[in-house]
Amino acid sequence: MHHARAGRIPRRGPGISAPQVVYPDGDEEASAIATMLAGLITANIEQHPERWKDFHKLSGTSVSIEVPDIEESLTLTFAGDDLVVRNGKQGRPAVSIKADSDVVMALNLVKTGPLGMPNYFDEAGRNVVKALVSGKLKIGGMWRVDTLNRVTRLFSVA
Amino acid sequence: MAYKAFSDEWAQAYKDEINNSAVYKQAAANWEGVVALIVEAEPEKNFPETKGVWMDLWHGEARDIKIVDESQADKADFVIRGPYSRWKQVAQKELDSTKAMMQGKLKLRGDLPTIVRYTKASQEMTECTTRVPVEYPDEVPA
Repeated sequence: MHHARAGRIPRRGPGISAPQVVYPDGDEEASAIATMLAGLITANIEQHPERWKDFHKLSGTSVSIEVPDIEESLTLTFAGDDLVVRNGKQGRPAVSIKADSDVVMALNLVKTGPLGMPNYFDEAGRNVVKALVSGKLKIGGMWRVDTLNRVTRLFSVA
Repeated sequence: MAYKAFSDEWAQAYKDEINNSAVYKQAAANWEGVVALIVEAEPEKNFPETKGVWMDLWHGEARDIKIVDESQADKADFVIRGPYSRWKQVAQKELDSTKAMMQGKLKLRGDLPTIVRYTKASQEMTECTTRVPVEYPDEVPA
């Protein structure tokens, strides 16, 4: 019999250097892509502490990501200093993203431009715009521009 | 001439192929660090011993690529681990390495943002493996 256990990655250092990742269904149950994207956000914040501001502003917000080519989906919920990660699309996410794995990776390469806005004019940005126009990238809740920009900054490795 | 998969001779040929790639040179122009691939044993596929592929990569150049044991490979800055048959699929372009990591078919250890930043370079490294003629142990007639 399987006993689900909520998994937590321990906080590091005397302060909180990165969000605490919480897997309510147990970390053993988390999909590889869920672990990967959560790891990306936590590493980004460790390396760019100024992005904590975006993280905290998103508190109470959920974002779902569906990746059809690998038949995986996940929901990220920002909750104070915690990042709650669940497999599948859960609840009513403010922003929902649907794209194949290569486009999800391309999203991570979007640079932050002047005034903290994502830069859609360089090669990485144009690739994302092309994916949007061609329907390879579908974003629900695009009208929540502020939320979308914050999520983009948290994912950006550029 | 085909090289035995994950042998010293194969590693040298792979290194030459990477250093001949203008695409890799450009995509990895700022890369610094050692990447190790751990190829886990699959005795039933005639690959009885786990091997590491140690890749010392520096600013668009492969300074050294060699076969090492698992414990040595584990010391690299970035470690990607998977069973022999998965790596064979990657080398034959039946499986995309980034997708494989997202599916948990290959396990990555190392700084994720850095790896993601160099996706194009890693794709070109896969292209390079396809240009090295390889003899796979599970395809060698008994």
